[in-house]
Amino acid sequence: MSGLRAMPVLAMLAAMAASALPAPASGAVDAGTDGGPTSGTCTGYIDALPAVIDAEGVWCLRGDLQTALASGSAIELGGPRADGNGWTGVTLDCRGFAIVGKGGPASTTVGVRVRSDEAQVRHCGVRGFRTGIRAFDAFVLSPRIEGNRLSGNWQRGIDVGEDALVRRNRILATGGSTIAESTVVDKAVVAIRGGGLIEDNDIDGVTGTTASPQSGSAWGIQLAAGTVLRNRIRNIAAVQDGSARAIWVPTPAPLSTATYVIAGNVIGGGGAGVACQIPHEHFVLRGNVFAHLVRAINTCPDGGENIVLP
Amino acid sequence: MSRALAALVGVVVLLPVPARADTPEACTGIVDTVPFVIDAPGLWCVDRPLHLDTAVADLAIEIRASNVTLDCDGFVVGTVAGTPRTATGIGGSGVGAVVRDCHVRQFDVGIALDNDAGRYIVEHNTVRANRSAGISVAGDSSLVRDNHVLLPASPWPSTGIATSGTVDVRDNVVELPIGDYDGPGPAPTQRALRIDGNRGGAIRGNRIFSRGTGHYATLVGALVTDSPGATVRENVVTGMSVGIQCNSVQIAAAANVGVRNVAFLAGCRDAGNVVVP
Repeated sequence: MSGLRAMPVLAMLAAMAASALPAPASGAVDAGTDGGPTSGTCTGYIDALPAVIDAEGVWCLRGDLQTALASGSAIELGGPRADGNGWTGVTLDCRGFAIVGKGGPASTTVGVRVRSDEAQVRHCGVRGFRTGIRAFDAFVLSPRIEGNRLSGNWQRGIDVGEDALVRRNRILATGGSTIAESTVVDKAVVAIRGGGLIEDNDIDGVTGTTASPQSGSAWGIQLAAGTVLRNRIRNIAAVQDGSARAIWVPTPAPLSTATYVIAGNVIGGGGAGVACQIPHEHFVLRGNVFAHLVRAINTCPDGGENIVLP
Repeated sequence: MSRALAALVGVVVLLPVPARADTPEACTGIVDTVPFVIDAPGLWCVDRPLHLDTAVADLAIEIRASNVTLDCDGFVVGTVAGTPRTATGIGGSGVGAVVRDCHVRQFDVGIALDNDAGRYIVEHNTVRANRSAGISVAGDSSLVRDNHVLLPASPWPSTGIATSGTVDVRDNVVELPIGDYDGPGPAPTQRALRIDGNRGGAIRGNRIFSRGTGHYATLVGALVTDSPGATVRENVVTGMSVGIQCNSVQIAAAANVGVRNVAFLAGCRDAGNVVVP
């Protein structure tokens, strides 16, 4: 077995550079725009918050929107249909405009909550919410979260289930919540929580909070299961007694058939690079670059061809 | 805010617009109903969700002309709820067609393009719950890339992406269902990729998963036949009965990652892969 030779480090870094998103322009528009074509028509526009979309189609923004909600969701995408199928085929395309929460760090708000199957969220700027984009309900299958820019969300950037596509997003400066969570698992500040396919995202800045004991942990990606490819993760900072981990892989649920592939990521500036709660089976950790970390790999099986720089 | 109040607010602020109001000037024409035949080259745009009654027609959008680009901009092309999945979503034999950003669901075959002269591009589509195949492309010098294909749990054998001829199949995500099969007869085989007659194309960078729990059927990540010049590399294949299956050792598999497959390679030449049980 000669290994993953088609993914040499230089090629991987080149691919990484190609996938890096341009810096956002200053001004009101605050979103990445790398999730696909945007030149078509819209079923309708969202002109005020909060809003609920309960119809199939492509729904758009035509300007930045703000809300001072302290709880609830700024935009909610559908829900199960009356026939129980829950298929609404909703796409939210912000066309580069931003959804801004003004509720402050004690708010429990969600910027975009996906409650329907087959939903897509793309080209949105989302900032100032407890959770930027959430697609975590049991009936939400295969949400597609692409080309968004999330910044300054207080607890989580993107929160999804185990079969999501999370691609080409920028998640910046996550942290700052002042809510004291009761369960340990919800206390960490996390840029992306979930599984499926998480690739080509840019995570910069995740900081734990001092809201309660054990709330100081900061994790770039909390991986339930799936494949994590070509992400850039940096500046993960814990406070108090918390843990700083670029990628954290907890113990799967009993009888889980979870598999894990973590490859081609560039991780720098934090505590641990990739940390596992147990030495997982069905696990490939290969071809990653780690730099300026306290520890590159913690407990996970090392699949080789990882590069660790001091 | 209660959900009822939120819904009310939503009703107030969501402003449906006339479908053609901001239609890009660049569109040659608009596909605004199905069935629809595209009989002239150019950029054709979808501007609303489209649902075919399969009792009326067996093809939703037919590309009959050469050099057509169909851009759905994320809109659904599907079937009317409750109708049988006997039709094709987007199909035709016009050479050089491009199909992009379409959300195609609940047909027998989602996207089917067939002309030996090929030059097809099928990209950035979400193709879901189609009974027999998600995407079928037959024609040389074609490209199928960056699509998200999900196969349904069904008692029929099905294929995520099927190609015939020299076709590059790159960077697609294909998800196969698993669960406990309880239908009549043997459990059907589900294939993520079915590559045939590919002389020199690349099967590269695809991510192939099974999801759910249990054992639904025989799951094959990629079946590659009669393709001595094809390259199968850098794919991630997890949770299959067979990861990559070839009918000749002239087909090489290299630098793929396989995790939790019952068997990873069958019949292919192993040119160096990462395999984890």
